[in-house]
Amino acid sequence: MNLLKLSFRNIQGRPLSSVLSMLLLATGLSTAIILQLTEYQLTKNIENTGKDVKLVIGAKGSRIDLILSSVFQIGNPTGNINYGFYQLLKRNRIIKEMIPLSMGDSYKRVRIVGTTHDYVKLYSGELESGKLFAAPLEATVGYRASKKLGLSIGDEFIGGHGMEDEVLHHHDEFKYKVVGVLKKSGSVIDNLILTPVETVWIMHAGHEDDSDYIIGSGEKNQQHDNHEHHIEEHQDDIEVDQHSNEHDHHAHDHHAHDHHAHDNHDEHTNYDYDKLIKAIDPVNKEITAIIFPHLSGNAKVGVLNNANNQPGMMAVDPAPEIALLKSKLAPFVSIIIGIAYFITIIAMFSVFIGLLNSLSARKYEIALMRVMGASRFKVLMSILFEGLMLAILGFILSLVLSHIGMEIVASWMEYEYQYEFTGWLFLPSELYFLIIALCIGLISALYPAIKAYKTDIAETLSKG
Amino acid sequence: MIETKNISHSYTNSEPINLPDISLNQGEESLVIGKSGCGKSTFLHVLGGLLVPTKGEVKIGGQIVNDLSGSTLDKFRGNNIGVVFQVPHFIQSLTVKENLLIAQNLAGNSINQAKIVELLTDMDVIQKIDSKISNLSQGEKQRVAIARALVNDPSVILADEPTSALDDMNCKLVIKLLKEQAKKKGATLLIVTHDNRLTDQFERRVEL
Repeated sequence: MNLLKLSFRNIQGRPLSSVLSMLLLATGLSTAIILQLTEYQLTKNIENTGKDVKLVIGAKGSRIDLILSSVFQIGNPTGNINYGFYQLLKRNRIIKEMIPLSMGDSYKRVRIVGTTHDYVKLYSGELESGKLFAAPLEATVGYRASKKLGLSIGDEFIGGHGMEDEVLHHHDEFKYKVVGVLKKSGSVIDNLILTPVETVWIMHAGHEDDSDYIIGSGEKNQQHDNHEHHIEEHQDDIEVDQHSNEHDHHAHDHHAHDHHAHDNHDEHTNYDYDKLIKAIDPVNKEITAIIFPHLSGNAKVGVLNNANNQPGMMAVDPAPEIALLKSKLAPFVSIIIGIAYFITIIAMFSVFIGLLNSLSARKYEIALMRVMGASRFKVLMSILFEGLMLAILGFILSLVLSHIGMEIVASWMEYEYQYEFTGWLFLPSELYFLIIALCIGLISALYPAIKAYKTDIAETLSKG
Repeated sequence: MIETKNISHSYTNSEPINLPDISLNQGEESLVIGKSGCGKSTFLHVLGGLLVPTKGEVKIGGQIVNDLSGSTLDKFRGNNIGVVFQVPHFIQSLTVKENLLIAQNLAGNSINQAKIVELLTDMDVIQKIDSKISNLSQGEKQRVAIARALVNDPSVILADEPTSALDDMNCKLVIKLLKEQAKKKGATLLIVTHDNRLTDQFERRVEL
């Protein structure tokens, strides 16, 4: 039996008050810890995913929507742009790297993205098994997507048009085939199914009338060639066929009217994909966005200006948009921090009142300790220990609550933001909350401790 | 062993209380009798080093208690003086055994479990060693309080009205135990009381 044990026993001696104090403290601290864990993981995810994307080109619309949808795979894209523009830029020697992205389909809420191998390279994705997608309808599945969907090499699945909740219809005449699974990369590709951009065209062409794609008619081919030719002519000033967008709208209308037509073609199993792709009108070859890694200086300015001059297109630098997004989040973060502080201050009062109450009931015990030989200082310390112990216990409880809480929040966040969050991450900065807790314990115990320090033995005993 | 000279104490705004000179040798026992309000508690507090008198001198085992202050006095008190109060108070959150252990600790002595067991056996409360204080009867509490007063082998045992809250049977038992233990340890025993039941049990009596 020593002073520390005595203090602990005194805390045990008033269980309700002690538990209330600890719970309040733990609630305040764990709110702050959860916030910090979320912020840390979010920032890390944003950095991992966004750091190497220097420019994004997509359909005109909300700049932030374009960045969110194409870089972070959150929310709906702004629309589509013509693949011809991508091909045009591809011939420009000053652009070293560019990655097409084609979004809009999903399988069981996991996004299917049509792209090239450069997209995997951008996030240093490595194969866990199999190979990267090569032919149309081949799919390489991100680490977490494979876990979530239980997909492995050789599996086949049917994608649906639409993302997340709003799958409009299934492309059930074409089956994707899993050819590879990626290792964990800690970036956005973990949650995606990747396939060549051509896959998306095939899927969507599948909703056109037969004559549009089954076997290209002479007329169609002719138009195709003309189109290519047209682009080639203008490749130096990077311009796209003005008509392409009109065609585009027309195609979409067409598409809306006829998307049930494919019901009659369930028996199609072995398509000649190359033929199919060739048959697709170039104006129907669309992608959602183009992202540019490692683009800077004059090349960046050039691409930016060119894209912005195209009708229905825009180029967006992600960095200021991400900064804007962060600044929009800041007030919410402040509110949560405010709430955390508020609860923590209430906890401080709770510890204070608990100690003060218990002390007025234990006045005689304090005098008794002095009779038994305890110095004033020892009495002071025993009360401070009580405050500090409550604080440490509250802190330990807050660690348990915050990490379990984070794990619960994580499952919700993952669904909402396509990123992996975990409660089983421990940041060194959590120790900072231990210091806060100790300060709270110390501050709230200080006055009661001084009161105990000043106890007049004889007077207290006479009143006893 | 315990000696007082010309002690007088005045509380703020009241008449000074003059206290008698006493001198007891090691192992001697004495009763201090007086009506309530005549300064019995003041006398005991002064003797126990809990109250510094306005005037006069208290000597215990050759040490002038008035000369000590702060933690030195606290330590001296814990080691040399065992006090038994009228109403036995304990640290409520601790068990019987823990109350004795903390008494050893606070006096700066090392833990001696064997002594605790021996004392509680002598006091016939060994069966309650792990009980909470609230589960003890009044008589049992007073006997545990005596055990606690003795746990650091004090040279002086001071008892403030130790029997006034007890029935005749417990009263006799407590006095018997106090006397026995004082004799066993060779400690000086001083009981301050207004309880007439004790008068004929002590040869030496000081009237206040």
